[in-house]
Amino acid sequence: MRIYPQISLATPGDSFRADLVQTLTDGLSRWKDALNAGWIEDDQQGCFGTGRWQALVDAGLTGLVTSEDFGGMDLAAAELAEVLEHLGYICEDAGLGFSLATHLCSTCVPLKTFGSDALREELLPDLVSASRVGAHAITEAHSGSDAFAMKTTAVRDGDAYVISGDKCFISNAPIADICVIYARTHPTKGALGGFSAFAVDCDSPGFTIGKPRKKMGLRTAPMADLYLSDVRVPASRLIGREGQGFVMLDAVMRWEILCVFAIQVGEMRRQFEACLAYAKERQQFGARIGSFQAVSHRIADMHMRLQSARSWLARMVAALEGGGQASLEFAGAKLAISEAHVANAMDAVTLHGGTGYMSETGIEAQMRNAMGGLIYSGTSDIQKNRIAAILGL
Amino acid sequence: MSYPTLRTFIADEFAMDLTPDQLTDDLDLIENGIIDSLGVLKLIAFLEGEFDLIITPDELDPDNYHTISMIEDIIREKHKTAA
Ligand SMILES: Cc1cc2nc3c(=O)[nH]c(=O)nc-3n(C[C@H](O)[C@H](O)[C@H](O)COP(=O)(O)OP(=O)(O)OC[C@H]3O[C@@H](n4cnc5c(N)ncnc54)[C@H](O)[C@@H]3O)c2cc1C
Repeated sequence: MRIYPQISLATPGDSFRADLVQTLTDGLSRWKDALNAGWIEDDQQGCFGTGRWQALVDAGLTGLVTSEDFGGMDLAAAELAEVLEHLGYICEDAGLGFSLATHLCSTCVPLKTFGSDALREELLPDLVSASRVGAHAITEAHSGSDAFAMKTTAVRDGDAYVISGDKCFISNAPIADICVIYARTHPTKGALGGFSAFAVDCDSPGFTIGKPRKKMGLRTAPMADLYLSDVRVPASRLIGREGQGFVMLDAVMRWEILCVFAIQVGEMRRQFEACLAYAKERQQFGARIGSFQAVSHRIADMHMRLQSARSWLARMVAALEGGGQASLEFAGAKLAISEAHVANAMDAVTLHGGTGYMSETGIEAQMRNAMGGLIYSGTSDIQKNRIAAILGL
Repeated sequence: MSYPTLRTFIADEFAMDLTPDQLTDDLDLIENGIIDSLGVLKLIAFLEGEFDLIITPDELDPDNYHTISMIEDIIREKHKTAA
C-alpha cells in the first residue's frame, strides 16, 4: 500500500522526459543500499563517505545538469527536481545529497551558463565524471548575509588575475579540486558590476585549504575555510565577463535552492511516511499512539507542511521554466521549505519519543541537518528581506 | 518618452543623500555603487510592476543598468517589442 500519494512536480509538457526521469529514479533505487551504507557512523564521526559518493557518481548524478556534449544529461528544472526529490527520499545521508548539490551548483551551473567554450571543454567533462570535485566560495568572516561586502580581490596582471583573501564555511572544500572564487574586480562599483567569479585549481600556489570544520549537522558533507595569498589564475579562468559575479551568483543561487530543497522535500516525504507508520504501530496505554489526538494532530501538521513544501517546489520549477526573474518564488520557496523541514524534523523526534533522540536511528540527525537550511543560500531573515523588497517595501 | 516615476523611484530608494541636481540622467549608478544587491531586486520588481514588462535573468546584465537613461532605453525597447 502506498502510504502517501505523491504529487508530480512536473508541469505536463512535451519537453518533460518522463522515460529518462523514470530510468534515473529506478536506477537510483537500485543504489539505495550503497548510498546509505555506514552513514550513521560517518555522521557521528564527521566523515565524508567516499564509497557513498562513488555510488552517486556511478548512478550518473554528477552529470545531471551538464549538457550531453560533456557527458552529462542536461536535465530541465522539472526533471532535475523529480530526480533529486527521489534521491532525498531514498538516501538518508543528507550530507551526501548536500555535497552533490554543492558540486553541481557551484561549478557545473556557472560554467554551463556563463563559461567560455574553452573553459567548458577544459572543466566540465571532469566535473561530470567527478574526477574533479567542485565547490564555491563567497562567504568571508565579515561578509555573510552581506555577501558583496567581501574583501577578497582579484587584480588583473598581464594574462592572469592575482587573487587574495580568506573565505569561510566552504562546503566540499576538503575534497574540492576546483573552487569558484567570487572576488572584487573593481574598486568602487557595487554588487552589480564590481565582482567576478573565477574557476580556481585548489592546488594552485598560494591556495590553502584549512582543516575540516566540525558542525551541528550535515556532518558527512565536508567543510573548510580557504586562504588565498596572491594566487595567480589565468585570465581564461574568469567565468563569463568581468563584473558578472552578482548576476552569476543570482543564477547559481536559484539552482542551488532548487537542488538542495528538492532533496529536502524527498527527505521530508520519507520522514513523514516513517512517522505515520510509527503512529499506527506504536502502542501506549493499550492503544496506538496515533489514536491520541495530540499525536494525530502532529501528523496532520506534518502532512500540511510537507504538502506546502511540495507546492513551493513545484512553484519554483514552474518559475524557472517560465524564464522570468522569479525572485519572489525562490525566496518564498527557500523560506517555506527550510522552515517546514525544521518543524517536521522536530515533530519527528517528539513523535518517536526516546527512540527519536537516539543517534542510532538517524531521526535526530535529520533535525540537526535541517537547521542548516535556515542559514545557507541566504538566511530566513534575508529571504524575508527579499520578499519585502520585491513587494516594494 | 521619459519616465518620471523611474527617476522618483531611484531618488527615493537609492539616492536619498543626493540632491536632484546630482541625480542626473547620466549619473553612473553602477560605477558609484548606488544600487546594492537588494536594490537590484527592488528595481526589477519596480520596472516589471510599473511598466508592465518582464526582465529575464539573462537581461540582468550590469552593462544595461548604468544610468537612468539606459534604464529608460530598456523600457522603451521592451514596449516597442511588445507592441
Ligand atoms: C551548512 C552550511 C554550508 C555553507 N556552505 C557555504 C559554501 O559552500 N560557500 C560559501 O561561500 N558559504 C557557505 N556557507 C555560509 C553561508 O552562506 C552563510 O553562513 C550565510 O550566508 C549567513 O552568513 P553569516 O553566517 O555570516 O551570518 P550573518 O550574516 O552574520 O547573520 C547573523 C544573523 O543576522 C541576521 N541578519 C544578517 N543581516 C540581516 C539583515 N539585513 N536583516 C535581517 N537579519 C539579518 C541573519 O539572518 C542571522 O540570523 C554555508 C553555511 C552553512 C551553515
